[in-house]
Amino acid sequence: MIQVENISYSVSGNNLLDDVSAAMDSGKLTVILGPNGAGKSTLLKALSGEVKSSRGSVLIDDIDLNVWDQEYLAPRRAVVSQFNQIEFPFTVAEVVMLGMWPAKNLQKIEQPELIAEGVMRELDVLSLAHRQYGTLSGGEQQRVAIARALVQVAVQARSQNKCYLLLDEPTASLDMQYQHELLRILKDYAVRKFTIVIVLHDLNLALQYADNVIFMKHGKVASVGPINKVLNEKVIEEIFSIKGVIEETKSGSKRFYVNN
Amino acid sequence: MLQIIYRMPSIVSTSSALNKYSNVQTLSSTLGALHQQRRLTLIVLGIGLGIAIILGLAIGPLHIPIKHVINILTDYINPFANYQHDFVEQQVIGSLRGPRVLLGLITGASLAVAGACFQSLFRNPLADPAVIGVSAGASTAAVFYIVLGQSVVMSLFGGVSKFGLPIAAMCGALLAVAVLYVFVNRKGGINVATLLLAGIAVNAFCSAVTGVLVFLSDDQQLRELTFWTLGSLARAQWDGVIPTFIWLCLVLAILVSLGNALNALAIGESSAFHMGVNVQRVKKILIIFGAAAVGAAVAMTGIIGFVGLVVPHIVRLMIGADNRYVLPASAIMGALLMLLADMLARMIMQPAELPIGIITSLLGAPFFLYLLSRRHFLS
Repeated sequence: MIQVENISYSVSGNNLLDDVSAAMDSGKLTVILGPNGAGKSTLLKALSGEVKSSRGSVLIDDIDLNVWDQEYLAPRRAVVSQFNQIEFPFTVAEVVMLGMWPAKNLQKIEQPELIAEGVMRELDVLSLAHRQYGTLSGGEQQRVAIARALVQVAVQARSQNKCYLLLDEPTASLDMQYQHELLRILKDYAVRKFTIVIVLHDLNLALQYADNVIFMKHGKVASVGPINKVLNEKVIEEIFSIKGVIEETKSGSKRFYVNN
Repeated sequence: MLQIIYRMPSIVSTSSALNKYSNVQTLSSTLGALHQQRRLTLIVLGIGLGIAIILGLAIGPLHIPIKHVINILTDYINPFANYQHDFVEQQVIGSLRGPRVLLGLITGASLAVAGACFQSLFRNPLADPAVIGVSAGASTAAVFYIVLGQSVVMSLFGGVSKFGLPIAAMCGALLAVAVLYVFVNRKGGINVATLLLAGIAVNAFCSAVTGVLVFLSDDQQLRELTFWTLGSLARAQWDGVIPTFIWLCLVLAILVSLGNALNALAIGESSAFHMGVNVQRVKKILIIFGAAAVGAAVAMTGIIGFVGLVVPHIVRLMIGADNRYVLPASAIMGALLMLLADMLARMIMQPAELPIGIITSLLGAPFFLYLLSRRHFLS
């Protein structure tokens, strides 16, 4: 579980995060939603320790993020950033195996390639193993980056330890098939004691897969809670200034449409 | 179960794409093939370096047969071997070509490894110690020391140490890297062109300072100064080469051990941080010891450009980008390339010799342009 307590963060007078509090439960898929510039990515960076909040604290497993030894946290907490450009000619195989390094630092791993192969099969990137990362399409690069992150926590996940995944717009350059595939996989991981936090733009993806949502606006938490309770037409209109309807389909899932 | 059914279409659709490749690659087979390739390359480079060392000792105005070179070398290593040597040949190898080859070997390795390290530090495959101005920083500081510093040290301590010059050069290199790093980092460090433009500024500033110092220098000093701008291995003597060799071996050992951390840095600073790498510490080590490698090399040879650009690039073409192998392979290939360039420098205009920096620039500058044109760095 990740707890955020009253964190604030500002850059040259702009409050990017303003007294944000939220809890992200283990075994749940939490989605951060909000308009551009609402502080979604900044919140994710605060969760990962990449930005240090000026006030408040972030607790992972009830331990303050500043107290965690990064070397021990890394095999249990992986982050997928928005940008995954690599300047040097690494093959996909090397990039994914790089994810194994933090775990290898702490313990001896039996057949790390087999573990990584399993993850690569899940994300359908195994057939790219021999390709040079730089020659892949944007979507392929994104799937490889996600595979690397999943490999980073794979060893700890196997021994049933609590793990954390933070993803910043992981679906941005994926086609529709892989968007759903990815969220289905992440949902699967959530069931295995993972705490998963995703920044998303697509409300319908959130409606279909999220357990909890955090709505951000102007650096503040506008609304937080289980998606069924929090997400409704009124909230969407307040936050995104857009009018629409949420409809329940025959299969029971929900869809959001925009009224023109 | 549902999951398996859902994934069926994706398996079917990708399998048709896979059929284009006759043998399907898996992770283990890809890693295995890479491993083979690296091992073979390291062996070939090692053999090449051995041959270059022997040729470097054999070739020159006085041609020494290769068999004699090997005899003389084994005599040094094995005290019980007892060959009859030609006295002149032994002298030429023992006190002229020996230190020269050793100096070329270690400075070539240092420049190549420093280049690979700076490329990782700046996340920019075009970073070369000479191109971005680090070598110029070192040589300017060295010239400054010769023209002004020496007399100050003399009056303060009553004598000059032979280590004064390399220490000054290393400080100059460190200053140059630090300035570049602060500048590029503030600009976000994403744009590849920023570093090159900053390098132009550092180079221009250093050559201006050197110009001022040339005006201030006397005749004797002036003769020494020309050496710094062109680069040469001709002044190699054991008493200077041996401490440089030991020092650079230490520096290289530290830099080469950073392979894993550099790999993590290659996928981005924040990703490296999330993998538990102490990014700030690694960067400090890269800056300080990268500068030490360049400074100590420049103090002995002057500016020799493009070794740090060409070598890591060719190495990556041969064995990929994994820095655990790129760094040691760069060291070997840097040494090899420097010895070959020195042989060329000695042979082209026999009995006179060209400064080696001219040779490396003649080969390196077109290569640099080729790299620029091949990738869309400046867009």
